[in-house]
Amino acid sequence: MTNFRRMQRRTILKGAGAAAVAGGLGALSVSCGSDDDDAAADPTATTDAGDGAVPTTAVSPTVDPNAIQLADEQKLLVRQYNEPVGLDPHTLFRIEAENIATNVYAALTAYDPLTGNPIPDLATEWEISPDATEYTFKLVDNATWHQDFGPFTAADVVYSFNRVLDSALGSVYAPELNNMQSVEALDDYTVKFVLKSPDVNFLYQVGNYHQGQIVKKEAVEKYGADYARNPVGLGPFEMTEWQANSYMVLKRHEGYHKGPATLEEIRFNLIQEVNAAEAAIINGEVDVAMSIGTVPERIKRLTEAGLDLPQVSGASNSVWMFNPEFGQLSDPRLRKAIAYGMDIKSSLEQFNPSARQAFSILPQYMEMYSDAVTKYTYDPQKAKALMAEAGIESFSYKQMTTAAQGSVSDDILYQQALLKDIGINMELDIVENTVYNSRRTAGDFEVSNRLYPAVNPDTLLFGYLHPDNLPPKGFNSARYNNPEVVSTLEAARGELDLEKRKELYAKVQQIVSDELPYLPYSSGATIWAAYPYVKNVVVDKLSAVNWYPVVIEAHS
Amino acid sequence: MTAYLIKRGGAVVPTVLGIVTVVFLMVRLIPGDPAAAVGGETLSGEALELLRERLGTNGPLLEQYWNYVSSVAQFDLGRSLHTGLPVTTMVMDALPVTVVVGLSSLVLGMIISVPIGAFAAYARSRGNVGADSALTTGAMIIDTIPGFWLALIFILFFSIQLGWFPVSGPIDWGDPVHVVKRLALPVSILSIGQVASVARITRTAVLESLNDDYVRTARALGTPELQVLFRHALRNSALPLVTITGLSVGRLIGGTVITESIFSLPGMGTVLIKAIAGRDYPVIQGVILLFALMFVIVNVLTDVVYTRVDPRVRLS
Amino acid sequence: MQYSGAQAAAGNPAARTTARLPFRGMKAFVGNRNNLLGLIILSPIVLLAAVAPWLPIPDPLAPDIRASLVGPSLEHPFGTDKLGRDIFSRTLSGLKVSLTVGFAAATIALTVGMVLGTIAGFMGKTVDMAVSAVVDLFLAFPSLLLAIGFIAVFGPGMWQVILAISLSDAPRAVRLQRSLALSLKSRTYIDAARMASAPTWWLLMKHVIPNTIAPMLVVASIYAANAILAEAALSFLGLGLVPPEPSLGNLVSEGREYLREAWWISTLPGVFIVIVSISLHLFSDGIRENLDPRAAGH
Repeated sequence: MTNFRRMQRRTILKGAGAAAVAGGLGALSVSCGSDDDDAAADPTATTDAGDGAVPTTAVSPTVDPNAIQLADEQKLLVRQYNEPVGLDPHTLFRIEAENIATNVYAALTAYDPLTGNPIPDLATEWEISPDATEYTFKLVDNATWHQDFGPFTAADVVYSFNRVLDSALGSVYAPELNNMQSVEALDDYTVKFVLKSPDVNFLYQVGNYHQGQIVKKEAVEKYGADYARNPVGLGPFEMTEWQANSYMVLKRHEGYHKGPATLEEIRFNLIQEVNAAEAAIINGEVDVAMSIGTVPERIKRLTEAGLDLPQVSGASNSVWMFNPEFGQLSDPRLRKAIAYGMDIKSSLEQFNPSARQAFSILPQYMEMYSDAVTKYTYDPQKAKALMAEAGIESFSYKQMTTAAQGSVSDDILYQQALLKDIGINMELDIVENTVYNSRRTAGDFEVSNRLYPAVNPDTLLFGYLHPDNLPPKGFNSARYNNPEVVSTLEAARGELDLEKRKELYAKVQQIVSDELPYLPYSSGATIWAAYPYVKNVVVDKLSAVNWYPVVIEAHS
Repeated sequence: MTAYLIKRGGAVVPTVLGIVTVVFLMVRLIPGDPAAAVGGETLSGEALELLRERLGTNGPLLEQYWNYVSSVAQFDLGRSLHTGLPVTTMVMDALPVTVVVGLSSLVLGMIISVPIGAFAAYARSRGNVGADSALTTGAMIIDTIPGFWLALIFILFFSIQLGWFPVSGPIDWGDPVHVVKRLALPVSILSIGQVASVARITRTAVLESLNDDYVRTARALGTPELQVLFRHALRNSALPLVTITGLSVGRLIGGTVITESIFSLPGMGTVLIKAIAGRDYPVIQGVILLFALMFVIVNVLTDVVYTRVDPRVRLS
Repeated sequence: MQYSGAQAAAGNPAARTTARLPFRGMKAFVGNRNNLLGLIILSPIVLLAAVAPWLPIPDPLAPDIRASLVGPSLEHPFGTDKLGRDIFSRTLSGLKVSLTVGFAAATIALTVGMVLGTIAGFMGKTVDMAVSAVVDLFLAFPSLLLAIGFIAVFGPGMWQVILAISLSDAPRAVRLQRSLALSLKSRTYIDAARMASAPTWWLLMKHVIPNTIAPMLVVASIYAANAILAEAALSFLGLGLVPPEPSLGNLVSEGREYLREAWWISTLPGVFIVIVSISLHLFSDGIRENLDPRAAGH
């Protein structure tokens, strides 16, 4: 593994082979075979790479830009539903911000939009030591920074990861990297990570998301406190204008390492009110509307208006989080009473038909998903019995929720009414998104909800369940700490055998569904709306759109 | 006049100081520790101290007050807790939209309501009680329809159904046609909101002046009725209209908060609503302060205009 | 907010009080066409809202997803919302909340106004100056803004909304009562009573309150109407009452999502806002006409 050239064709994973990484090192040896097989196994890999060349694009365009007549002006207007607080990767939060950030920044790997698997980006190829503790990446040599920050080198990678790990910075994403021992630049275009313990999922951690996004030291230092509003990245688009409360403009980055995008400019207009957004897109004021909600009536109206509805479904699960520090909720029987007292299935059918009830923290598409868990379906009798067992006739708790433009979701109101019937009084604690996030991060709630988009099962399981991630630093808002789960998780992360690993993950999911610190609620869709002349809008597993392949077809 | 202006301007100083004080006290009235209320109960140590500093709630109250007043005097309203942007920049960026929308609504409101009020009075003076009642009652009904509901209906009909007016996007001041189209609906909604009060005042004033001697004289001399109404009677109603302008502005400021948020206008109302939802107190304080100052300025202006229009009025 | 009634009443308080006060009993009140009309409209509505919990109608909070977005019918006279909740029940329930908000806000403003206004008008210079300074300060803020600021500090909820709204009405009431009290102070019978060394409280109870209550009611009914509209506006902004508690404002704003599929959700409660406000305006007009019959002639 010291000799790149010799090892290249045998152990270096490529875009296609990366799928195998998700499957585990057990599959690694398989990927040593023919590249063509790999390419065939992965529909997203470019098929013309018969010579083993690394795929050059992270997406599989559904429409070939050369096959259609492009509009003369490649400028796009997009509805942005909320203004990002800032675009510094280490504090980056919420899908509307990530949507911009993934286009402004680049990382060693990107995520395949259809499968979520890591594929090459700034790293053209990589090598993993057999025990999965050392990852060595070869970097592109033609990437340049936005503005005048010069060429990209391995030093930028080292800086970026050390920055997130710097305790003085206090990044919420530092725990994502807590298995990292060190990162060093072997030369200008080679960088090596050493891990504390084996991790077969590390390629995800260096992807184009949060802690994986590469920043430039000089830019961070130049803008200082204002950096979050003046992001400088290596992505296909650069931020050129940001008018608070109004709009943001991304212009294509001429020095992008895969060549400049076809789209010249994307203007994100802030339209918070979803009704106004609907009016705006039907009225032709924007070409694309980011996340238009899932209210069936609206979806129907948009379809009738002739709009495309790019969407991703089942990519992430919405999970209810119980704070055990609140007396009643420390008793698992009462948590279960809440779970049995709600009719999630019917409610979703009625109010959010694009979603299904979820039974695990992990979304079903993930290979590590397990179906062998305790499932909570509507059973008021059982709920009453559990309450009786706990010696409680009725109780109240506060459900922290957001209100889209002043109204709480029909779904929550429905469950509130059902729970009331069995003596559980759900008081609504309605707060705005920003407050919701900060209180949730701080662990300051009784029951709240999180939809955590992630493609790495470890991000979800470690995030929710590992005591390293207790609030306010991490995402374990239920303050869950079960030594058995911790040791199983840690063993799973380093387990090289795929089947054994699956078993370990299944065990974790079973324990958690039984103890119920978190109640998997729903697995829903993120639906966008776009005019049919906007091609290649693909909502990925993280509910984001990569604008690089997007083109505008000539239209009247 | 100059002496009057100086005197009137001087009287504003305590009001402004009072406003600044109320806005200062706002954050201090939050039950418990404001920083804990904003940052969450689990916030502690350095982070809590930092937040107190950003809220200006650290140190003794008098010192906080002095700091606040002196920064406001230097147009420094602090920074947003969320974006870190200076509040002054945020409100100044949003100000033009709000001022243009507000002023246009005021003017359009007058254009709609004054004739309604004048005709109602005229009808009444001619003994046509039915027409008067119809106009007054109609204005009253319109006045009691919630503006936001009307706005939603307008969007549905004029924007979605007919596709006439855009309901989103920043305002491109360089393109007058776009500006008019973009602002047409919100301005209409806000103008309609004033119809009842302005029409009512006009009606009362015109009714009184129609009985005045000079109007009778004009009529006796055979001046056409419309001219009597608009040249003579209405001119005499200017004073009450000046007064109602001050009140209308207060009402408009409330209305603009809602209207801006419905029409995604990047004005001060939008900034305020977002800040309240996010408990971004420096921004809330900044916007309320600026709105209150605008209101004070308008009231001073109406007073000044009042004295100009009616030389009998002198500041006592 | 609208102050037209207040304006007219406050315009010349002395003139009002010189007129004989026909507002002595219900007879005079009901005798007025506006008042009568207002009563005819408002009383059944108030009654309905009051007895709603005992009416054989569905629970306003109980969902029934089999009856989602059903249009007005015999079973659901006002239709249902997305959750299948009965809009008629919800409207009655919302009416109760909105009427409470309106009357509570107006009562607070009226009480504060009567007390502080009388004190300011009758007491010495220092008290008057202090009260007037505070009043002027609060009036320097646009009213909805004051309410929004209050809720930004104390959070949403019914009593917060009521207090927030009265925060801007009370100073106006104080100002009006002060001017009414001032004009009474100089009147001869008060002077006479003074010379007879009547105690101040007797003076106030016997002469000031009875002579100012009617003009104050003229504005108070407008305050109540405005409070109902203000509550609706605050609810629309998410600063009003906490769901699932319905207020008329909450109902109107909840229905916006389904304006096209189910116009009844926001429109029918909206109609009630209009009806209630109009009847309150009618009272204001009626009481004013009682005070000053000349106004009716105009």
